[in-house]
Amino acid sequence: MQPTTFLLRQVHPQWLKDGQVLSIAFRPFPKDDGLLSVYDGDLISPEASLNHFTGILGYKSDGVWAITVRETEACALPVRAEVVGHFPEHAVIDFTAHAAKEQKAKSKILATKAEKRGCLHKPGQ
Amino acid sequence: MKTEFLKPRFTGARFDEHTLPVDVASDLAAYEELVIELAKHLWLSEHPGRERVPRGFEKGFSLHLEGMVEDGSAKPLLSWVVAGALALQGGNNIYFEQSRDLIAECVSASATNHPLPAKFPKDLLDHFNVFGRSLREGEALELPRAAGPAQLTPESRKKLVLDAQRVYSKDVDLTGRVGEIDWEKQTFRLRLEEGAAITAPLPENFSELARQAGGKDRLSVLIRGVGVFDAYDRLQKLAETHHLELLPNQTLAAQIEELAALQDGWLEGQGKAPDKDQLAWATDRLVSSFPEDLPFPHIGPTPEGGLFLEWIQKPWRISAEILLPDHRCELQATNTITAKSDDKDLNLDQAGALPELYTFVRSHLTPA
Repeated sequence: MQPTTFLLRQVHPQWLKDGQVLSIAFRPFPKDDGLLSVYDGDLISPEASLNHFTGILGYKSDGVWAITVRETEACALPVRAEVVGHFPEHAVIDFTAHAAKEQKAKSKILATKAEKRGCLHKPGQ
Repeated sequence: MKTEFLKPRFTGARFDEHTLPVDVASDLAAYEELVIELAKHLWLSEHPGRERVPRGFEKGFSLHLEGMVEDGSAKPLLSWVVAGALALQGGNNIYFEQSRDLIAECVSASATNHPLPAKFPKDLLDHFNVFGRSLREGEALELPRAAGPAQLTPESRKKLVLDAQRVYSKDVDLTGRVGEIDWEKQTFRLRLEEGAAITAPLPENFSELARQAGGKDRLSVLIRGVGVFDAYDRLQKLAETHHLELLPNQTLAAQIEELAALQDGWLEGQGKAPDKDQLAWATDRLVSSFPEDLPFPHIGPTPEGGLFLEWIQKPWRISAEILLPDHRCELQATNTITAKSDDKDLNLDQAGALPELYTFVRSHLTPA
């Protein structure tokens, strides 16, 4: 991954309101142990990532937003590839070094950067 | 003198307890009126050259609701009651019975996509604007008929009315905002949530409520009445206003209430659905106290079954995460340029917590 590599994040329909992405969409879930799942944009396109997420994994997504490796590292959030089974494009943004409140603040910064870039792919596009 | 006239049967979830909701009474009254008007038409058809039915013709017919048939269904018994002297006139009674049977044939034809009986005059189809109007989706009114019951449903009723005219009526609940009020015509413009605006009658008893809601963006109204629709089910206007109720901060309430539809597992198989009673609690607290000067937040669920409120105004993102059922609230305002954050935790069961929440948000939003 390069500093300019896009980290693709799927946004659940419940977290897209009036076209705005809620910051909670860029925060690790309790089950994730502080690791936010993303797709490595060097290995998969936004469209293919959405198709994989909704078609293969069977989850819901209202679109694909992205932040770069440089942007996450500027927030003191390291990024690494983490291959899961037949899912080589899987990567994680590591929030574990930060307390819960700091994680929330960082998610707000990431969501703002992603939103400024705009949605890269929407279902049915 | 009393004679059994009709045992209609109501079907659908509202009738499962074998009782009749009171609004069905208007259907039965409308049915009686249709029977009389059709009987008059039948009599006149058989007496060419006569312009009017005989004096007292309709006085010989009056339907009474006798009670429910005790066979485990929502089946009222309608009896034909005739005053003593008129009972002896007997000769015209056959027209009311013919009328009853022809109505059932007409309903059956509509339900089964057959042509309407030629003897049924098109100008009387307008009566189906009232008869059957209280029926909801999934409900039906069955009229007994020799060849099997005729089913009047919301859809077949609509077809009957549209056979004669371009619009039909049905009961509606509408939510919107009150626009211009025309005091002289006693009407007002109702701006619906979806964006369209319609004209609605404003009965005197609702004038004060309409005045309070007029022009206020955050004060919606719930209107119950009779809507007029075209063949494509597009609402054209409101013909009658029966009920008007103020709904403050409806946009906010709707965002929270929408979350009640979530099921456990909504987020990648693991998200917990918010508890409905807790959502009602949060809706009530926020809607009743939300200040006019604050923009509404965007609201979503948290994976743990709580509420996530976020105000987005560059450079700030301000979140209020309400933990349910704890009623704790974690506030955080982050300047997304400088990364500076302010945090505050509140217990929403404590007096003064909500004003404190609003003050926190307000202090970080740039005045417009």
